[in-house]
Amino acid sequence: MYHLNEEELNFVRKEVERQDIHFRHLANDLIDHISCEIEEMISRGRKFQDAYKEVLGIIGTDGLQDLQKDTLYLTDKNYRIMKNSMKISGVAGMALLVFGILFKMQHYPGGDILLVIGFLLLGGLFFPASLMVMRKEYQQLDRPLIYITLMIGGLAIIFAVLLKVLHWPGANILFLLGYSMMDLLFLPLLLFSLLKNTSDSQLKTTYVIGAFSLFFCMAGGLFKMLHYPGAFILLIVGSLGLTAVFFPMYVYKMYKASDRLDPQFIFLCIGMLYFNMFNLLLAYN
Amino acid sequence: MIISNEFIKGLIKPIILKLLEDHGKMYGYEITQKVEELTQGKIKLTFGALYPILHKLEADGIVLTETLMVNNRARVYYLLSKTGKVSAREKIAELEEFVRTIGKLISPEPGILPCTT
Amino acid sequence: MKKLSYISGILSINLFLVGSLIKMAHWPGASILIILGLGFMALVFLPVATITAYKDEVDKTLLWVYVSGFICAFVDIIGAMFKIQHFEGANVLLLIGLPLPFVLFLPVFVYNHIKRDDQQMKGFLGVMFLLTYIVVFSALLAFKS
Repeated sequence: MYHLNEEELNFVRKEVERQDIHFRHLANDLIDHISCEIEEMISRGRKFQDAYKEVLGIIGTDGLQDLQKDTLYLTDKNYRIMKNSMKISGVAGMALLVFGILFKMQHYPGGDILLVIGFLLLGGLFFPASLMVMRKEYQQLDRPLIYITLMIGGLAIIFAVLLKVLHWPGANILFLLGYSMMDLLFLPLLLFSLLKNTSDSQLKTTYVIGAFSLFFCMAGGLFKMLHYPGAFILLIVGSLGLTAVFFPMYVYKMYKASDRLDPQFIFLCIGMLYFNMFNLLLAYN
Repeated sequence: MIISNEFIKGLIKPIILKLLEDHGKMYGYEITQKVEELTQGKIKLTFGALYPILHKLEADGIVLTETLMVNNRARVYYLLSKTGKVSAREKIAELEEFVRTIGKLISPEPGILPCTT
Repeated sequence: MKKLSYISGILSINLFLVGSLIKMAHWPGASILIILGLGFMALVFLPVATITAYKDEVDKTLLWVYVSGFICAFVDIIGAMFKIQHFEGANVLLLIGLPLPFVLFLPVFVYNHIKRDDQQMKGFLGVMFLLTYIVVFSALLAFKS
């Protein structure tokens, strides 16, 4: 019976690592199991590379990751409850919020209540829960500081908007706080983490361009709100850098290899459109 | 004829427990091979189905794990814990009862199990 | 078709961006670029990209997700264009367009996500975050003016 040598084992280890298998001893289980399958095929006359490809083909691109998620889901009851309440509060919060806005715009009664409940659901339940889910499932970016700054910054902005809508005091300060936190803390941390985890130097450059553009973009918005000079230049450089330089580079890198049009691209275009729209409108109202 | 997944899903746990009861310490691949061997290829346990359940059994305290270095890599062996042995017995008895009951349902005459080909 | 999708997408958002920046600087030529950018996006990019993506989609039962996404995006973008250019009918379009993603796309999307017992959080979270962003900032803008 053939036994895989160190070099061949490393192929298998790399694949398990690529899919970020970190739950308890699942990585060991999978490395051993896949190796056994391959060894069996080699004993029947296949070459390592062919056997390796075939086994990976059976697993599928994200098969191991899905397996890990099923395992997480099955073993951790609290996690399951949190995930479900995250989804429900997200959808409910949004629906309430939207109808709250509509009611207020049309001066129907009850708009305020809908808004407040919607905001509370989104900001108090959905947003924190989704960050916790994200952290558990995407451990590649696991520096707790990233999630903390994202959570605080995001919550500050969400609640600042709520205060503004209710005409309560403190909205502006809270908003500036949140925005600054995202721009000055979260963004650099995110960039460092991404750079550390990527080996492709072209992709690294793309990330750097993107992060700096975003930084200038948001700084421009901040400056405008604080009535500092130079805001417009920052906005121009930032948003053009983001949309005309970073985005095409990123799209090229990500989708050059794939043969199908990923709906994610449509989603990203819409996202970029809205981001620019809101950022500019915000700075100029 | 390979037996389809919809019948097997709920039975995987008792099947694993039965194997561990009979054979003591087993590792994941060994379990899937044993199932395939004993059912003459009719039931193929995929590792997408196997490992979540093994880990759940471990989280519930029914099985324990031991890791040994074999052939350059870490191999995780699964075995029934003390309490596991007891609940395994219960679950397996339930499975055996289930098989007898279904047999009665399918065959027209009571007490006779259908022919399996 | 695929190339057209990529190019039209990137082109339209950049046209819109440049137009907006020019508008903020009160220079001439802003309106053309804004109309071109948003119009191109809604009339060329969205249909072409949605159809191309769906054609390559493995799971054809996701049709309604694509269709509802397209409708909501289309109405919202045209609504935004009308509002920015002060065209007639802007308010009606926005009145329909603002809740539309949440009463049409969101239920369809979540339903399909749950039906598939989808453990893929990345796509789900991405869509939820984008929608949250849109709703929160829409609230802000609706109440600033």
